[in-house]
Amino acid sequence: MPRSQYLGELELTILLALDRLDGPAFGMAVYDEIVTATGREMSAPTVYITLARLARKDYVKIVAPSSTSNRATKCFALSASGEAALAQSRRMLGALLKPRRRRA
Amino acid sequence: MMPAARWPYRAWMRMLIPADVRDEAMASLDHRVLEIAAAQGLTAARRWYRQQCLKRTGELLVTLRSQVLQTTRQILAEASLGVIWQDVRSAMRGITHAPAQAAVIVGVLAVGIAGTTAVCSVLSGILLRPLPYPDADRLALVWTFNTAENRRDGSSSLNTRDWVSRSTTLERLALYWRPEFTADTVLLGDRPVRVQTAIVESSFFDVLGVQAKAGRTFLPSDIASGTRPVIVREDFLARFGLSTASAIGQTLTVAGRPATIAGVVAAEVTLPTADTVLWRVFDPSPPGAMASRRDDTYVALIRVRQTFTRDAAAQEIRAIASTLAVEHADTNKDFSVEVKSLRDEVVGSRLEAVLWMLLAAVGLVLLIAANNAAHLLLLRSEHRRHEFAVRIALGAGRMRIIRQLTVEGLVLGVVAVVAGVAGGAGLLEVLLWLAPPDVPRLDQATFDVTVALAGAASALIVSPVFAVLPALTTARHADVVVLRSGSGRSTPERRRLTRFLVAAELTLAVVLLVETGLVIRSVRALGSVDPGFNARSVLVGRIDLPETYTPGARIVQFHDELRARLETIPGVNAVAAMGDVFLRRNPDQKIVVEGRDQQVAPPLTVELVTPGFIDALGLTLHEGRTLTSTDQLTSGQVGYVVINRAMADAFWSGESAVGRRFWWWSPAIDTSTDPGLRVAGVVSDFRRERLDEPPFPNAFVIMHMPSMDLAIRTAGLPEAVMADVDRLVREIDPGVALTGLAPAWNRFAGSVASRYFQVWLLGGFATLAIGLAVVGLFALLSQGVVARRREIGIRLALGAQPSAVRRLVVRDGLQLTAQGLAVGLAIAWCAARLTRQLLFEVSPGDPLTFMWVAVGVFLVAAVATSLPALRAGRLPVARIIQID
Repeated sequence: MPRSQYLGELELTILLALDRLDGPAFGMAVYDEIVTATGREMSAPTVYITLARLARKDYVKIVAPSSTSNRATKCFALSASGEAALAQSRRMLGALLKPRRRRA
Repeated sequence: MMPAARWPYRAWMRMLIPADVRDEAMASLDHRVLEIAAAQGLTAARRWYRQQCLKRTGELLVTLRSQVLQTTRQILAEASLGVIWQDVRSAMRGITHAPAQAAVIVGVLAVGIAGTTAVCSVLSGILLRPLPYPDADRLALVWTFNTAENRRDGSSSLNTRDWVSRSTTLERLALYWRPEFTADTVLLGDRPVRVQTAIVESSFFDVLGVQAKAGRTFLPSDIASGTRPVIVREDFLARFGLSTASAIGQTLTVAGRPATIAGVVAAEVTLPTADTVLWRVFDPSPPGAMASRRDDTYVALIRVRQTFTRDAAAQEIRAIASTLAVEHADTNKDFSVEVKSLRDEVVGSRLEAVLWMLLAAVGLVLLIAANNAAHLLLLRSEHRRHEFAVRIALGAGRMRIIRQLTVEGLVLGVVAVVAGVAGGAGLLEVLLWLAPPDVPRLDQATFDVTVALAGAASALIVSPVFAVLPALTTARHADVVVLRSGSGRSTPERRRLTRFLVAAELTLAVVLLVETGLVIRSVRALGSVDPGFNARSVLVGRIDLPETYTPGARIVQFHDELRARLETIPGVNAVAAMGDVFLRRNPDQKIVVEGRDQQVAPPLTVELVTPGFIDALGLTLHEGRTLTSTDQLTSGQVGYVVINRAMADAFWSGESAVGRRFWWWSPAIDTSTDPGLRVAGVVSDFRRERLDEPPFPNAFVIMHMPSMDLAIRTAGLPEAVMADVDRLVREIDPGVALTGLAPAWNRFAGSVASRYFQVWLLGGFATLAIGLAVVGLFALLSQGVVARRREIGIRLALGAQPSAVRRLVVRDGLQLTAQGLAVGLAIAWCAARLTRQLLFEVSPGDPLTFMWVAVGVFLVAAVATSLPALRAGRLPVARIIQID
């Protein structure tokens, strides 16, 4: 069972990037997506470490660990609970981003 | 395929990535670097990789910081006096639960603190504390350096005057006599003592910046006054029970002539030598035509102007010296200068080397100790993972456990600090007690509080951190796994780390052991050096005749009577006098050998002796005859000399030296009219002052001087006749001063003693190091057996022989030992080359030492391995299977 229903900022960033990539992606592709989309300074290993943590939490599934090349590479994709957590976070953020009605 | 990123960065990156994603992340990074390299070039790719490293490090630090802050905040929030007290109590319980383990950890840390504190105290006292003179860094000594013979020498007053007059960097310069020329017998009251004195220019104390504690220092007018004033050191007066104030104006006899005490200086003044207690004044103004630029009597003490550095001054004097070498080519052709800071001169390069070696040794021990403490703490906490898992399962907070471990670590640390600081103070006392007396500035060594504080701080950080580390992961990961596995199973990751730590300990210990072995072999070699005469049965003392004995027949008569009377003492075999039995001067006398070119190198020393010196020292006459009183040198007649083996070999190698003719070299030599000298005989070599220095070429000539060393060869122990000798000398003339009467061997003991000091210290450290390393090995293997209990149990249950299981553990231990040993021997091989200066007649790669260390370490490691191995073979199989 996942320890926390809430996503950390880094986790959220990576899940959003995975979502944008639309389908299984290599860790490097996730890194590139974050860097190009946000311009955010982040190291590649951190992306891998966070992806591994998300996989442990079951938000990300590892699809087809390919051994075709001599690199040990894995493809990551959103899992069902990952999609759910992302949706929940989006709702939460959306609600918060909406300007609050002023008091009368 | 070569990765494009450089290996240090890859290694750095590896450390930054946790093991579970390491391979994948590293492979991706390597791949990406290649892509960038292909698109933008190698430089850009490498820059990208560096940036990745930096970014990742930064991220890690940020995470770490927030974790530490969070934990601390939580601990502080929960902490109250009662809770802390509870923690301390449960920590004590935890410690008493496994007291041996706790004791080892405390011991290991305490040893590290004690060792560093003591040795650093000595080191900072001798090397780092400034000299007791104002602006001491502007003081330096200048020597003449003879480039042709590659040795340093004294200087002439003519040359030194030129240095001062042509220099812009020198503030002042004062000359003093080379100290080896200036030992004197001093008579204060009726007790003659032989002391190191100094003969200095009147400005000497002003250049040093030393004020008199009572009276005054020298004045330029002292030379002309004819009162013969002397300055004495405070501690010298104390020997005679004189107070500083009452000493002024007292008269004493120095070298047979009366002198007056004009001033007293503090005991910390140690120039020219540490044992100088009395200063006389002289005027170096050249006495006319006799002055030569080749004179080598003086040493120049300089004070550099405030606005210049010592290096600038050294450079300038060197430049002046090379100008002088051109201007006075006949005398100064081979003269350069050597400028040495006063500190370097006082401490001495050999001592400095010894001290740095000691510090390196202590550093190694401290490294091993900290390493070992960390590793033992890791093991200790590792062992208790199961306990923590159970407690967490029962509802203990994670913080509760972290806090308890922190407190436990702190308690261990505090005990270690107390023990270590106390031990350090004790060890310092032992060091001072063991140290040979000739170590300069040893009195400056006091307990170094800064070092002790640093050691304490490091212990107080190391112990809680390593105590808590395993608990952090236990508390983080699924506790169920630990619970189910039944025992603290260490991750392969951490096992690799502890294995590496233990191998590193063995490596460091091996380095120390090899160095110790080499020094021990040096001392043994030194102990077996034949001084060339039977130093254990020769008694040596100094005879000083009063002024009434003018050179000539009167002294000869005294020496003859002395010899005749002393030889009547039962047990005395032979008696003679010699200029200096132990003083080993630099060879300075050049000779011209008949039938050869002028000025044959190497130069030699000339020794003044009385007849019978061969018997008195117990030397062997190799060929020719000995000298008698008729061989006194007389001008205009051919003189006869005896030479030593070294000289015979240097000038007449392979042929007989007896009957050969030579002349003392001088600029005005005329071999056609001067009858010169002939070799009467050749005697065996003997060593003087230090056993570790080979004999120089010597020529012995008969000469009766008012101040000479008396050598008495005895049949039995020399101590037995000391009282009789003393009494007889006084009977002949009570005005004659006989001082420093002692067996000759005592003098050599000095040079051996300083090496014993090294052996003791190094040996102690090496023993500690190997002890610590073996403890580490033992702990690692024991823990390994515990961790693999289930595997071993199953093997045994399936019919494996206990011997096979034992072999498994032994192989593991010995493999580790072999690795540590191999690396250690390689490092020691290089390190020994750096310490060549400290060795004597042992090559730094001495195979015997290396072999013994290898065998020894292997044996000790085998013992440390056998205990866990035996335990592994005897594991209760049934119970293990049942439990797991």
